[in-house]
Amino acid sequence: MVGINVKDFSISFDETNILKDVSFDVKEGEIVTILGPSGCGKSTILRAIASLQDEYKGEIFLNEKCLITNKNSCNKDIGYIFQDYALFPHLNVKENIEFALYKLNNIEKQRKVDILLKQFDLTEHRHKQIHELSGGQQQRVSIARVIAYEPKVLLLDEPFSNLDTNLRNKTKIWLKKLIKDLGLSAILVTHDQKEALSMSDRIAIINDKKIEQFGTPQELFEKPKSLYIASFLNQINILPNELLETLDIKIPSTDIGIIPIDKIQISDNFNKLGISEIEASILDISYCGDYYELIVSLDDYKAKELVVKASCLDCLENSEKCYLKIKKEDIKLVRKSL
Amino acid sequence: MKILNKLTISSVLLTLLISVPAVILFSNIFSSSENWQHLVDTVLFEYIFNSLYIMIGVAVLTAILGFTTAYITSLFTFTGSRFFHYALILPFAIPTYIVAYVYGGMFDITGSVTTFILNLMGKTLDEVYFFDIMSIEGAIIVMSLVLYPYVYLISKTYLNAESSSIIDASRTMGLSNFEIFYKVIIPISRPAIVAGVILAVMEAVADFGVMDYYGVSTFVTGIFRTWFGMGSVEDASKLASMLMLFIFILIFLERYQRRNRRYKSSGKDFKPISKQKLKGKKNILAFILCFIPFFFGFLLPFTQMSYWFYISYEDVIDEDFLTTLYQTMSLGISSAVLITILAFIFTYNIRVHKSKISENLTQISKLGYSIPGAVVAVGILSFFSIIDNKLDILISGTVVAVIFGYIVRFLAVSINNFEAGFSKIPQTYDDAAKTMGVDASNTFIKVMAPLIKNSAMASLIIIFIEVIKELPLTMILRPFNFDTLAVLSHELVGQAQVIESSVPAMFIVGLGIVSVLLLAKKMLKD
Amino acid sequence: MIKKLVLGSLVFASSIFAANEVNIYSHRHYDTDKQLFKMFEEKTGIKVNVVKAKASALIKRIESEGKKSPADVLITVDAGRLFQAKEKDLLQSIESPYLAKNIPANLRDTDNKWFALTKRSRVAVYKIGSGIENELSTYEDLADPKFKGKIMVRSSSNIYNQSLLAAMIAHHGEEKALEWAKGVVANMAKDPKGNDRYQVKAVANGIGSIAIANTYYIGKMVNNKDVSQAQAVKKVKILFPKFENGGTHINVSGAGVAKYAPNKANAIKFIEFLAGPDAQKLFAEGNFEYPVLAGVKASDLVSSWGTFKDDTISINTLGENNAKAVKIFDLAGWK
Repeated sequence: MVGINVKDFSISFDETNILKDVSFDVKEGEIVTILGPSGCGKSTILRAIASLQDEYKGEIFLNEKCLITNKNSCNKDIGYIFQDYALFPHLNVKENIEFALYKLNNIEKQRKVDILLKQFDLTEHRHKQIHELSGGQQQRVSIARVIAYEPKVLLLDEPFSNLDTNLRNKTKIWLKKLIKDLGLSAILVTHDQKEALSMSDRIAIINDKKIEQFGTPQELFEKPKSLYIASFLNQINILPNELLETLDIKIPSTDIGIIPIDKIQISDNFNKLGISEIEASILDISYCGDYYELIVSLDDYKAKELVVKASCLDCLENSEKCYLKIKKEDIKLVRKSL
Repeated sequence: MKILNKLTISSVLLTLLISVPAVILFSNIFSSSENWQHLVDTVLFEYIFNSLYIMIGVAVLTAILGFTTAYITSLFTFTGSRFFHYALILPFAIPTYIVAYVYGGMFDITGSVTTFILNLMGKTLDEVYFFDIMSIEGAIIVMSLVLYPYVYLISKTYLNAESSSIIDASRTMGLSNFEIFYKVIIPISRPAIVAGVILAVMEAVADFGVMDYYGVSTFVTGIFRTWFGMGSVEDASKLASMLMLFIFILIFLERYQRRNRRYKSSGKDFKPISKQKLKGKKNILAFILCFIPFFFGFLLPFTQMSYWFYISYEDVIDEDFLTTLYQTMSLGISSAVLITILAFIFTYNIRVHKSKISENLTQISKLGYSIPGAVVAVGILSFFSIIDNKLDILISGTVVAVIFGYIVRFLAVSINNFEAGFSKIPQTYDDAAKTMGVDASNTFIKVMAPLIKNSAMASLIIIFIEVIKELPLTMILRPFNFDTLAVLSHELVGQAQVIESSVPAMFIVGLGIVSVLLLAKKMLKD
Repeated sequence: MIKKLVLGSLVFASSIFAANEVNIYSHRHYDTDKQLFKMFEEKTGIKVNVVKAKASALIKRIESEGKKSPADVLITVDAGRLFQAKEKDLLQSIESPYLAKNIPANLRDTDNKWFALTKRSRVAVYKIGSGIENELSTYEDLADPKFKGKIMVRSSSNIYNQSLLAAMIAHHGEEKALEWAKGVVANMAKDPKGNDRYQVKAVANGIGSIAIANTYYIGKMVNNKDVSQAQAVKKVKILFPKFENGGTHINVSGAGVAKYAPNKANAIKFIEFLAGPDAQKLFAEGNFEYPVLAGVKASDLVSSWGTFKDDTISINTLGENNAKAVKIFDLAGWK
């Protein structure tokens, strides 16, 4: 088991600063996700850990002892799964996996490859050329190739972006299991919050060149520090300050009040919901399969628009007006920005 | 529909026309003669051996020179890398026979370099063992120095389109730069290397000027010899056919062992290879590795030629010379335009129709490139003489014959260009235009033409250089009072006026340099 | 399409410009010829159109062109090719009192189909001080083992060598000629490469001791802009070998009128001009060849090399034996 320590990582590109003083750690056996929008520089962190990046500031330690640089990869304990899988197009599946085992003799190599093929359910595909495989199969090959040389740390760059939605869920499950079973530490980079939440032990969210918040999924989800974090992880509504006042919530000028969209109750009847009813007009209704998403505008609060989830449409007989109920305890106060 | 039919018909006609010289040649294979037996007994083996030796030698050298430089300039930045990026193609601008003459003049028994070194050593020629450049090894070296840009260019284009993650992945697996080079990059680049090598070898094997001057007996010199010496077109044709058999076998072998493997990464998120910066010893090494081919393939011969030009241009440049210059330019331009248009018709036809027939026709038309220029000339002479007699007119001996010869020889080059260009235009563009109800000619004008413009430009430039460099075919077919710069320089060399030959040669090279640099800008977008 | 246009305009153009002209197919590749053509144009007002190529290519071309060939005059640098052209029925007899009177009979065709214009000899060139002049006197000597590693001579694909061997065949028959060729090959200092001047340069610089070259090349090397040639030629001397049963090998550069010449009269005028005193003088002074016109002397330089007796065989045999010569070269391994 091995941990990673990133200290004050800063990187610039063409004189523009992309990341500044990013620090985080990955404990042994932990899965950490770096979450951020495309182009924020998160992949460069991975590359630096894999000794593929030069010209950055800061330090990266493997197990607190070995300093990773682009010349020193600390015993090559790092495995990197590339976004495009980086499979050699001129070799077939078996040969691609074997490639990583180039240091072994033939017999050892064959034995290991067969085990890996079996482990990743690729035995029947072993003689196929890469271009004959589906996206999911290609991903398995790229992971098998990395696992072949038994790294201690796995780095994954947008592992789910090339997969169909159905496949994504399945993949999330077995990938997490694989990592835990092998006792690896892993760093994932992605822009998809759902994946981050379900896969990670801890998440670091990047905003404006730095880590805005670093913590467990529960911490980030339930106690977001800023509006950015809150809106990144969940669909939220910003509530107007006047509304907060009527609920007796004191709000400092640095903060803003938010509420997840599914925490707002909605009814067409004044009486059904009890106290704290807010009048709103329905602007739009979208069918989302298991629920409806409505856009409403608050009559009394300068027509502020909110998004509300409703589980049924018939419970709103009158489709132009509705009543919302908001519980005080569901409202969070977060910083507008850090 | 009308336009489509016309396209097909004209393609078919054109292919037939072009194949005729080849057909006439091949028809001679089966006629026997005692001369042939004599050839077999005496020189045939030598031709085969030498030609093989040359093919292998040139293949190896151009692969090494061309690919190493492509690799270094594609993956690394170092002192002078931007310069070499373009400069390494410059040998293209100098015809092989001219470099041969120049090096002959520098390194032969009384050459400038030889004398210099001897003086330095204080010895005379018979006391010292001197590498004789006028030998088969010398020919191989000289040709490789001029032809490696084929491999360089194709490899570079290939490497630029290769995804960087493959290299990164290899690095994370613990491979050193050197291991990555020969375990990953070379295998992946194999199609590019082979394509470039085949072009280089085909030119080497079809060469007459260098082999003749350096005293190397090959199929081509043998063809000239049987044809002129023994007066036997049939035997010359037999030799020519054997030569082409060689080449076809080569090409076939290459295609066969490439069959199911793809070499291109199919990744969706393609990141081009970002260049590593080199420092210290590696920086110097990279510089030297690039400097050597540039120096010997271009700088040295060019400098020598410039000096010779300087001391003799007043004597050589007169009214006749200017006429020759003018004729060369107009011949080059008109051929380039004509061939580009024809090639375009061919390839566009294939794209629109996707007919197997059209594709096969294109393959046949590519035959022309593998036939040595002199041999094409023979075929054309025979062909035109038949026409002339039947139709009672005279075409042979006019510019038409010469241009026809160029078409046969170089159509393939232009076709290759367009094929590559078309392949980069997704079929979806055509489909989109179709679904919008745009008819064929409008699709062409509004969609295709702008996109294929680059290929057309490249084709014009390449054909232009090839035509002004061309020697044997022009020599045989040209009309009265019509010399090209290439023919003139060859004649001057033949009169042992190597120094004066640098004057027309410099013009060829000058035009060549301009064309090459124009091309480079297009093909090597950094 | 385009071809038709080009063709049409060419035909059209040629019909307009079928002015006073003469069309020359020439293998001669010397500067002096340019001057000659200009002289002719000025003197007669007849425009000279030239195509230059190897004689055999020219012959092939005239053959292919057939009746429609625009060739008026064929000029070669070798008797053998003239003979070939005649054999292929590409030349016609012409009536020219001037030529009949002034060109020696042994230097023109019996049927008046071709006429020699200049004479040249193929000789041995040796380094001054090497003593070769005491050991070499005949062409047959060249095969003598005493000259092992000493001979520099160009490739057998060159017509001059082929004619020399053709002469050897005429003198001694094919078998002996083959032996001789083998002997020379065994004596070569290096594999044949380069042209005659290269051989001379080699010998001047110590590679080999005997170079075989045509006489006029030596003349061209003196005062040459190429310093290496000028220096080399100072170190050597010419020796005129002879055949054991004959004289010194000579060859000619000559001309004939094409069978279907469209401008026959002009063609005859042209050849007569080349055989005239002005042209002959230019050949002699400007190109170091031996003139054929009686009364025109060789240049001073050429005269200084010495005199020789022309070989006794007819120069027709040079052409007759050409194909055999090429075969013998192959059998002897003379590259």
